[in-house]
Amino acid sequence: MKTTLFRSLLIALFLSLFSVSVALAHGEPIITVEPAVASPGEQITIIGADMEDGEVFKITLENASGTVELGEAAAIKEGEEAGFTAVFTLPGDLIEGFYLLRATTEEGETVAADLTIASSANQANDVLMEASAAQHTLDRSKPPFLIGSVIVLALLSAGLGLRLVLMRE
Amino acid sequence: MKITTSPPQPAQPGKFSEWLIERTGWKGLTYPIPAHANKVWYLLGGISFVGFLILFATGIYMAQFYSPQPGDAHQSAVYLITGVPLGDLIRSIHFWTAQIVTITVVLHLLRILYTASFKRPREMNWYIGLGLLFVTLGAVYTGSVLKYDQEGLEALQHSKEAGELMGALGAFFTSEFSRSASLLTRLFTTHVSILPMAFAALIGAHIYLINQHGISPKATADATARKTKGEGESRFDIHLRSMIGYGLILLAAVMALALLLPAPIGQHGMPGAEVTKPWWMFVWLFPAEAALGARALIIVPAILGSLLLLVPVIDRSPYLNPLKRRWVLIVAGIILLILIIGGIVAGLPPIAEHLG
Repeated sequence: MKTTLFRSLLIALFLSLFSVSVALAHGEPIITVEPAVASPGEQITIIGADMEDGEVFKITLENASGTVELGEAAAIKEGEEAGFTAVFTLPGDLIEGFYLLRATTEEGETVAADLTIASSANQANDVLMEASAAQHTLDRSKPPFLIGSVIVLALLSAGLGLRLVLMRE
Repeated sequence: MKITTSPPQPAQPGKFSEWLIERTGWKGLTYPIPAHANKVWYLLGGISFVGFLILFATGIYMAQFYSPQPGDAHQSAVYLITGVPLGDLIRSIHFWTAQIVTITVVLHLLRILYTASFKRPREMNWYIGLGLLFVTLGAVYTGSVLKYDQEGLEALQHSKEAGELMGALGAFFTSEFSRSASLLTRLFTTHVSILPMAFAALIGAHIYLINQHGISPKATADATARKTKGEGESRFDIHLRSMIGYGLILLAAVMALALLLPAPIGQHGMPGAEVTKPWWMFVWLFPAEAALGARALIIVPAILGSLLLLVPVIDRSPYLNPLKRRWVLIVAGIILLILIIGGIVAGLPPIAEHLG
């Protein structure tokens, strides 16, 4: 029994390894874009990390209607890893919607981030703030009639439920 | 030979129950089942099912007001709370039902494991049950992302990183998968259509197989796994009545919780930051993630999933009694303990960046 269990554990460990891909020497490159929601004509900052020193990335915006080229960014070594911080101005005629911001090397290695284009600067700026773990402060008060109705419904539901559970066969 | 048939007798006027039985075939649900099937431990699956019905009803309402676009998602979730009639209440009922259903589903799995209800001829139903567990956790994960607050966005970022590490297998979880629909939009589709459809197919198969094999025998001293269809001192309609009863108690509990503790929502998410922790269902992954980075999000669930898949292969004796299967249960208990302790340890300290 113990042998079977041990073998099974080994098989499980072995199987789990198949789902993991090979890690690159410099790790998986990542890019983030700030702000994640922007308006046409606005400037965006793209930050790349975990890249190889000297790697040049072509930056494009893609969606269902096509691809817009924004420019290039080269990774520079900072400490142990290389990366870049590049600022681009979005075209003024970009259509509102979801875009894929893609950074592609000459070798074809790509990395992407989401970018949403909002129709106006106000709409885009509404969501610009610091990252925070705090809860959104909203008015969650409910009218007394609603509270009373929910309490009555909950009591009825609990009462009927208990009756059904405790009913004799 | 002349065959004569008597015409169906009309129901007696005024006897509504007979009228209803004639039209619904309710009598077909009065087949015998063992009495122990009406105990709460054997009703956890049924209670989870009622919970899913509550989730579907509240989810359909919320979907009328939610916008699955990255630019609008959080604002539409806030609008659902502040501007939609009953929106805050319905969302909170949905949230609390999801929390409780996760608990009942896990307890159901542990009960099956403890009483060895996965043994021959019920192995197939164990695997279908694992599929339902996957659907449940998938729905919890996708649901936690949809509100698109800081916690939701970080959950999305974690799955993106894990998806990228998995190569072609994880392509669905990467932004590159589609250039016309965002990952958030696709996770919304997963939450409201793919997972519910998978749930419907799996729960149908689950109930069908329970009906074919009967409820597993009580795990007494010398009990062995066998088919019990047609045996028992109780009836299925009584089982169903208890299930609805517990379901109504669940509904009352989630309504009370929704009033007392409305479902939380954080600030609009900022990409690239790590300032929150995931829900308790996933927080046990934190210690492994701190050590292995996003790779842990693949390795740990793969190991746990593989072990659960191997349960019917490992524990093959016909005995149901826990004392005759103590090694399997001890190992399962240790793994469970590690997950619980890992969750508690990860839940207590302040958040720090941990993705590699």
